Amino acid sequence: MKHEERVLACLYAIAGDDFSETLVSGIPGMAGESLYPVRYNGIVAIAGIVGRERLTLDKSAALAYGEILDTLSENFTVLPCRFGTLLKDDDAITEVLQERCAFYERKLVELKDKKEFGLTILPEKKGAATCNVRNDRKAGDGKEYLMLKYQQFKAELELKENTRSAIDVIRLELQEISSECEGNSSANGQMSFSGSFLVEKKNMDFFCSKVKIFQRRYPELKFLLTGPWPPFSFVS
Amino acid sequence: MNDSDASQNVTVLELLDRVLNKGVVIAGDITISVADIDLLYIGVKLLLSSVDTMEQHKKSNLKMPGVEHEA
Repeated sequence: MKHEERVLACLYAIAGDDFSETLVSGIPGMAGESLYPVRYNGIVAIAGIVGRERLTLDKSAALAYGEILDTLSENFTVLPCRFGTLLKDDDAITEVLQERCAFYERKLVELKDKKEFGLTILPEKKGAATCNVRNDRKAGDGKEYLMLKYQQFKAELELKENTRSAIDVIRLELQEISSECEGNSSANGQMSFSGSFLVEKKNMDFFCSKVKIFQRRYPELKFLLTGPWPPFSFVS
Repeated sequence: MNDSDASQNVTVLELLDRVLNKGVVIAGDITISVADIDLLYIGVKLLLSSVDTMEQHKKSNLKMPGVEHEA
């Protein structure tokens, strides 16, 4: 008896009227399948039919998925779907579009011609906050040791405060040239910031150059800027 | 690890974080095998833990009372 493989519809992204069917059909999906559009009222779901047994949801598939979404978002506005969104068939996709049509329409307008940048800010090194505690002292130097520890504590506190105010300034200035920002500062151990900025395509170069300026202005901080990404963090 | 490798690792981690934890979520009819998800997350955790280990190692080198440190 011939074994029939179960097939599923893998959902990649939601797009609007500006999507290109020619481009979509020319991009192979994660399992090498052809991508195709499922339409509902001016909203399009970009999907691919995959055999359940041929689809492995591992790290390399996740990276391939990221690349596919990157290509799509380079060419038109997309709402990227979370990796591993598998539905029964096209009817199930249409049902999803029908239910959330208004939300997707609104999001597609909000995210038109915009990309996401990730930014992490950390203190470059803790050396500035440490003090020398020498090991060539005799026993009985307890007071000096405590003083040094106190100075070290004070230096760390100062470093944390300076980092916090620098992060506030950076975040505020970057927010001015971006449409939206999500992320937070954390004081767990050392002060840091991790977040995403939604930036208009025409402002992307300016955004990056601004981060470079901050990098020069605050050499005590380490900046990890990634992007431009499809707007993953702004579609929920 | 040189700067270029480190920067590539950060980019991969950032991409995986977005692909796996963000994006449009459709609850309900989603069909996905639990075993596959476990496999995927194990891979990501390994990457994250290697970064954590590196950070821990850096911290322990910085503060050791009784040992001479660089200012």
